Amino acid sequence: MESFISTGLINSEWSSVFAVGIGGAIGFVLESSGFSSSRKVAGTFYGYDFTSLRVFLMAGITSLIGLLYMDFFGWIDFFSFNIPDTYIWPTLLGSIFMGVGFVASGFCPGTSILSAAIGKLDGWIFIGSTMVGIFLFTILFPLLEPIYNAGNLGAITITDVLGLSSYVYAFIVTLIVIALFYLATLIRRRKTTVKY
Amino acid sequence: MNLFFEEKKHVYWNPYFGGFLLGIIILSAVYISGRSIGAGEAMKDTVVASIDMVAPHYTENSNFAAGQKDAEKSPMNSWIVFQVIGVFAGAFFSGILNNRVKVRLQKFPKISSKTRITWVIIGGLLFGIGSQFARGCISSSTFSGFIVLSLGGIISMVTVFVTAIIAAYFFRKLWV
Amino acid sequence: MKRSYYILSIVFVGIAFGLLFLPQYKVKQGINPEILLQQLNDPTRIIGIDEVAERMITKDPTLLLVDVRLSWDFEDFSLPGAIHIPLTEIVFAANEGNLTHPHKDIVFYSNGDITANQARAIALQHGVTNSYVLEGGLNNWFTSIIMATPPTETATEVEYEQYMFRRSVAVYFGMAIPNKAKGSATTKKELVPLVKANDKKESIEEEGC
Repeated sequence: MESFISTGLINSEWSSVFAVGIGGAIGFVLESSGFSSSRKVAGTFYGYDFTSLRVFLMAGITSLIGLLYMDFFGWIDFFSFNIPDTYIWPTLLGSIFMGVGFVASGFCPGTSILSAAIGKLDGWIFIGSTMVGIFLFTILFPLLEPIYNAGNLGAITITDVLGLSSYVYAFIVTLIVIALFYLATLIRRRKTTVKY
Repeated sequence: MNLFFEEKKHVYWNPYFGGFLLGIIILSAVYISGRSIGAGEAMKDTVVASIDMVAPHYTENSNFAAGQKDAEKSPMNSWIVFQVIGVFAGAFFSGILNNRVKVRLQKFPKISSKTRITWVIIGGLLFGIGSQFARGCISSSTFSGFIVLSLGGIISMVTVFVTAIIAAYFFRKLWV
Repeated sequence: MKRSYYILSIVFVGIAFGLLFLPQYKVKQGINPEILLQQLNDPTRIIGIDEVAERMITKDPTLLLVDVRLSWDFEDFSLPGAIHIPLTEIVFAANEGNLTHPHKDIVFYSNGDITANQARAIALQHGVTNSYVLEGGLNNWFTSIIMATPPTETATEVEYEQYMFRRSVAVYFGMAIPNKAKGSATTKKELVPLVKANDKKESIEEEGC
């Protein structure tokens, strides 16, 4: 992917400044939307608060549609993105781990940083234990390597699998996401505002 | 300032507005840097960097750590670590503005602090291991699933969500 | 409140629906100018005549020589195995994919002027990345290989080897012009042991003579 930084139009020393700037914007928006609260995030799975689902899906369709239009106008090259290889078995295994961990703690690494930033101790504990988990993985890597590299399907995309053009795919995803938004309002429990 | 925000202490933005803004930020991040978002990678970089600091020979011998370690520069210099520093600062700023900064342990009122801490630690360990297997945590798989349309990202996103809904039943005492 | 959500979702669906009607072609941007400039000035684009000659003799299948001169020049003299695409037709050849050989090194050459570089620049803009330019073109080939001058007596062994190699190449392709140097007794005496070092080359030399 060619961008300002990789082509050298922005000096590489400035890239870290941009990184902090973009990170700051993301942090501000996510915190203001309520991602710093583990109870709010966990609410998605118990039907009392769908904020995190809404924010993420909304960001997803906005950026997907936006990127396709930007690609059409030639500002970026959508098809030059580095598509990560799909390793089917470790992805499934790891995602199951993450799904359980998500409900057990109410955090994902991103939201734990938000929580930690506004002084929540559980956020700090989560960051620490995640790092311990990564450390354990690194130590046990020789044992886990066969699983880690199992089932490489190569750099395939969902549009390859479905045989759709990315424009059609984006349209279908938008419809699904809006249906999900509507579904979320239907099944949200009529609870009084929870104080997090 | 506090006077102004006092009323809105627990009022968050409209989720659709927040999501739209986040989408715009992701677009500009892609336009400027061509990189994804994801905090898991930053934590991994930090772990690799700290292993490197404590035991330099270990990262050279371990395939995994060596593979993650950029040969030329310290992992601490990578874009994603700076981005996480930014996320931290941005969240703190937002917390200050909305009067939400307070040192405390957030939990469901009916569980003890000890239970909460135990499950947070277990969740963190599972996340640490799981995010390495899946080659990215939720935010990066959402990114790669939605934006580069990677099959792995979408599988990861859906699996996390389905597993979490199933697991939610077993963990219901913790939250509701 | 509720009505505004309906309006918003209709707007979003509308924008996404618009994607379906985008034409499938894109605004063609071609290669980024910065990168193009960098690749145009890449010093490794120049490929030496000795390397090309060696790969021609070993019948390296990954070598594709492209003569970009005018057709009468090509008919007059060209390198064996070269294909002829004049500079004016490079753009068509590249667009039709005739230059797209991912496993081949495409070597453009002309008479040693700028034409080969121009051809490479056009090819680069049309996605041909694995292209090279023959060092000095055919003029260099002619002076260095066909008219190879024997090194002076003080020359190093490397220079002798290079001379012998070039001489052999010229003979191998039947381009050798018997030059004055062959009559020189001193050089010939010294050349013999060098030739014997490589049996194959010796036989080539004998055939040619």
